[in-house]
Amino acid sequence: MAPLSYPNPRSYKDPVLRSERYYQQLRQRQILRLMLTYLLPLVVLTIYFAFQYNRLLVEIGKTHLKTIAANQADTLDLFLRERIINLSNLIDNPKLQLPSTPSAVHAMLKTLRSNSEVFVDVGFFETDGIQTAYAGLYPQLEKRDYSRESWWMALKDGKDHFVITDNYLGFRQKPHLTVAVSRTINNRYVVLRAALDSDKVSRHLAKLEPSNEVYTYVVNNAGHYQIVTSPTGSPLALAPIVPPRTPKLGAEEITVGGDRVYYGYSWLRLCDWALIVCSTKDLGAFSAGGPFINLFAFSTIVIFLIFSIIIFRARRIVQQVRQTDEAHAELSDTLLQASKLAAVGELASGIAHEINNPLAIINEEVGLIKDMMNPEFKMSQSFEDIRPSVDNIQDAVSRCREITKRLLAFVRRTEMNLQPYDIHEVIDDVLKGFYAHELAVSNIEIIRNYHNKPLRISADKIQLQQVFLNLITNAADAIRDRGRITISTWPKDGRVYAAINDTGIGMTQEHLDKMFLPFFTTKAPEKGTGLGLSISYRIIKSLGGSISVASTLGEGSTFTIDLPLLDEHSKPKVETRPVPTAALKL
Amino acid sequence: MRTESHGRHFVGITILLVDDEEKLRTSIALRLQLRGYETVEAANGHEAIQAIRSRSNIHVVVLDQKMQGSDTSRVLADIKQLRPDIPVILLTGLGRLDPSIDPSRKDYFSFLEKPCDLDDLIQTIEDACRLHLQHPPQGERSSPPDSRKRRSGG
Repeated sequence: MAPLSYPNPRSYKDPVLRSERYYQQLRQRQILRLMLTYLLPLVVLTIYFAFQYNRLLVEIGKTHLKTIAANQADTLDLFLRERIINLSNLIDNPKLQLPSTPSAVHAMLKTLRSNSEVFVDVGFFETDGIQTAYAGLYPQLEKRDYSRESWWMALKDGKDHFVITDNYLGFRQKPHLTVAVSRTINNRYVVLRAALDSDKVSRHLAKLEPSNEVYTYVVNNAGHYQIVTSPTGSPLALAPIVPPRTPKLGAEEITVGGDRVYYGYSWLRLCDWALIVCSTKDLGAFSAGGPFINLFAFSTIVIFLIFSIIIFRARRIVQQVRQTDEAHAELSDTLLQASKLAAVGELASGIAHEINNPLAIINEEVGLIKDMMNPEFKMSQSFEDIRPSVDNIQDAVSRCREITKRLLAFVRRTEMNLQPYDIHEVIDDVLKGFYAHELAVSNIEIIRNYHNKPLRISADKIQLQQVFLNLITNAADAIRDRGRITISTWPKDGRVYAAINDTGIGMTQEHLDKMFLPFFTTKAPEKGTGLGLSISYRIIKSLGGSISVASTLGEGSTFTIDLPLLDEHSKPKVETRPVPTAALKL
Repeated sequence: MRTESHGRHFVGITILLVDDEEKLRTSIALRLQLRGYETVEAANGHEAIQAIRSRSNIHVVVLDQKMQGSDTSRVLADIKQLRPDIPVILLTGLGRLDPSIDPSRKDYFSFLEKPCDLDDLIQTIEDACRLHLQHPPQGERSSPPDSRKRRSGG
């Protein structure tokens, strides 16, 4: 007997439409994916370039500060050198009369004042350390001994014939600078000293500043202000910035009182001073009013635009997926109907055989009754003799009706009435309704190994009952003499599992392979049509579940159904919860 | 049980009925017996081969084409190997010949559709026996001459 080639029901694509939640998640995933693809590189690049740009701006700013510092230091060097030259010109004058007279010294001061207004006074030293002649605002300084003054000793011991002192108070108790030149004239050590007004030097320096974006001051090597051009400090006070000794020229950044300060510096050549040019504002791009405020505003707008496009795109993609899914569902629905029709076509010859056999029986039994009625054959015509034939006809009609009924159930497209149910309730209804009597009289023990809580599923109760009815019937049929059917339920990973295990005869591999095929049966022709499992398979598939089978020949079979577990929020209002005993006592 | 047959029938023909449907088989057997034929029943291919082996007086085999647990084409081949002279009538519920049976081999005499009228079955059995008697088997079975066809063709 050649097996007929039935289409495998496992290849049917069931049109199960995806849930709204699926599309929400898909949209979120799409948005995330598109953002990662488009926005993330943009943001990363923007930040990278922002930092690079910031660094560049700071470097340019520092170079600018360094240039200003170098220029101003050169100017200050030149200014101080000019003052020394002013003094040198006086002392090197061939007409210089020694010892000098007060009038000569006043003439010298006049000359110096004409050179530069920063000169305060002038003094002449012909003997060691004693100011022999003086002209200026502090006449009490005449005849004063300067031999213990540091500048005097520096001038006398130094190789250079000049000295420029730090800003100091000195005998007059007023901040000033001292410049002095020494010569040896007619074997006499002669020194010409002049005081410079540090305020006026400051004003001179202030005139050099190109803009109000920087301020300039001069510190000595100990960090004391020497020349200050802004109200940030007073002469001789300690400055917050002491530039490094090397290199001679540079630009640095430090934090003063929580503010970042950029400065350029240059050490003077003539004396141990550093000229410092501070920026009045943050050089970086991120400062208030910096270029990046605009850039960030622009970037934010661009990012917002891209974000809008991404959300729009994600919506479109999800919409397209949904349309495709719907079209696919529609198509597979059509295909399902078509494949059902094809299956029916394929099955026609199989069914023909199934139906033609009982029809042949009816035919022969009717013929037999006719023969009995035929006087020619001289047979008994009593009802008792005819009865077996009538019974056979009745049975054959029942067989035909069963086949057509199952066939229609297989082909019919039914609307499912989905409701939430506890799976235990469905199984119990089947056991009570259909099996209470049948199983009690047979030697089959039913064991309910249920999960301790209700397991909620969405199903058409009638259809699901049909599935359990089929599976329990199969289990009962597999048990030849006496045995046990165990029904277990448990939840796992958001699904509900129900297993029906029997201690029956089990199945061969061939039976396992073919059992979901329509009209495949191992039962006697009058006991089964072979449609039960294939219908069960279709019902479970349409509920978004699956059926699996494990079987050992001679030991029994286990059919396991899994269905989606209903979400927590769709729990029934009334929950059976154990009442705490403590509360009861109160 | 034997009854007097109609004059036009061959008397003493023994028919082997092979079908897994017991009710159908016994009914047909009873009705054939009422009409004066000997019947032997077999519920499957194995029993059919047993019957062919053990009995020499079987004249015709009526074989169901689709039986649980039996490969009909195999059974047919076995019968033909044992007794090439016995004509085999196939009964089919499929409305067509089973694809596994090769019609060009002429292993069977005819096939009838289930459910079939008993008179048609008897007519076919009679035809088979007549042909069998006119052309007793001599090794390979030759194709039967069809006089009617020749007449209409001539």
